[in-house]
Amino acid sequence: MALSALVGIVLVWFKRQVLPWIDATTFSGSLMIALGTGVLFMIVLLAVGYGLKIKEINELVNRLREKLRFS
Amino acid sequence: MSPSLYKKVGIASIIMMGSIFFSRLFGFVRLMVIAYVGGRGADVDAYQVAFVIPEILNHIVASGFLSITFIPIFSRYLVENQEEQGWKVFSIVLTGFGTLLLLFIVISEAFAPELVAIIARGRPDLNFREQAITMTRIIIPAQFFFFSGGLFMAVQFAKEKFLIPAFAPLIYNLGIIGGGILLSPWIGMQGFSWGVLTGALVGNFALQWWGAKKVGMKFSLTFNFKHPDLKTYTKLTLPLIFGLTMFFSMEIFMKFFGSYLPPGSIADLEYSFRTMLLLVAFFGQAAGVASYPFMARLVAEKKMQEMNQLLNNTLKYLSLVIPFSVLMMVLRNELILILLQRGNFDAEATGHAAGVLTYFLIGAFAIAANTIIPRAYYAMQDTLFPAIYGTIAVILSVPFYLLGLKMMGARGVALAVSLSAILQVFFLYALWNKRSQNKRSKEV
Repeated sequence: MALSALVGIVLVWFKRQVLPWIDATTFSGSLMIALGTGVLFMIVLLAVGYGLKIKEINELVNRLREKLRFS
Repeated sequence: MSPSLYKKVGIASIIMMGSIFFSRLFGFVRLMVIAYVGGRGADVDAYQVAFVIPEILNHIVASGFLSITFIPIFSRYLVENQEEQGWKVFSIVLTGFGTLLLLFIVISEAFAPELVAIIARGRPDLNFREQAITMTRIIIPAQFFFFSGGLFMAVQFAKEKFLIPAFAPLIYNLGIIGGGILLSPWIGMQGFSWGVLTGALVGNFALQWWGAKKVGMKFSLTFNFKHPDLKTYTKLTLPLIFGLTMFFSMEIFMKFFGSYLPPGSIADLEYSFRTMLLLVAFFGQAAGVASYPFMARLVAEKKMQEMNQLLNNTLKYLSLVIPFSVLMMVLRNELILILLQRGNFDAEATGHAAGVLTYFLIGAFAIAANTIIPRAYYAMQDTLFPAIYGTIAVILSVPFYLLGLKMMGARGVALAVSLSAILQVFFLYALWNKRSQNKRSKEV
């Protein structure tokens, strides 16, 4: 729960930084904001989860690292 | 399990997962078309209200539970090589409950104005009521197709045929989309209602009747109210009829309490609720469907601690819904704009739906967990306790709705949905932990 709140704060901060540059009232603007925030969400979630040694996220990160090593 | 059985289960799972995925996809496309045609107009509210009486009828004959109630009875005759007897029971159930349902349909058609007046008590507007009554009358007969089609599908499942039943929800949704697109320029939202009736007739009734015929269906009009299997079926069905599930109560309450709000509010609730359900469906439904057979097997093998471990792990996996809910809260406006803002669904409608979405997302985790925890009870072959618990919880949740409605309007109704879901799931899990001595529940 605390992790989610932290992620939320980071995402809101990011959106506030980006919003003045992109018109969120258009389809393409909203899509860009959603994609950017979504990518940041995944990075923050994985980083915080890995840092806090959350088992499920650790397993996911390790699996990704294995796959990247093989490819 | 033999390897061939594993293969059969695997193929069946792939077909059903594909069906669920496409059904969800088409279901959301249906919502997008409704938003495009109706926006957040009062006639979309009327269309939503028109589903309440049909949903209650559907609940009365427990159409959604035929896999739990009818398949075990029919399968027993197949295992004992007494298929003829199985078809006899099929005819008795279809004739008995089908007649009862037809009777309810006729009564509901006749008393539709009075029933709609009760459901939409808060909206006395005559035009709205007239629209809701007309659409209710169009949709009601579809419930007969759902019930009889449910039985046709059940016999196909019992005979391990899954392909034709998998098409039922797809054709139903396509019917609604087609009805809306083709007829709405002339008759507005009523076009969708005709789509409901046509989709149910083609996908749930006609196609499934053909599928059941292919597996050797033998039906004859048989009234036999004293048959022991009809009594068994009724005994299994009654707790499901009287037990109010979380989803059933949410659907009814959103429309009932929404009717006390300004026009467009029921539509706001519907659009945001369905958007939130995308998240629940992605995590919850897959986990629920996948874990249930394993839960049932572990209970049968009396491995309760392993069963609890599986339940705890599934719930831990579901906790991922919480950060994703936060993501959706942050992107609420963008998501609604991308998914729904077209045609008559304008920027103002996006603002309304996005505002309500935040409050639904508060309870998304609990709604997802509710697809798992009751299954633990079902795995113990206990349908009665979740039914009684659900009914009490629904009654106790009414003050939340009243308070939410009074203080925050549509957002308050959404918050009430979330809070009641959180409390229901929390206590149901606590009771399960006590009953099953789930020692590691604190990990969740």
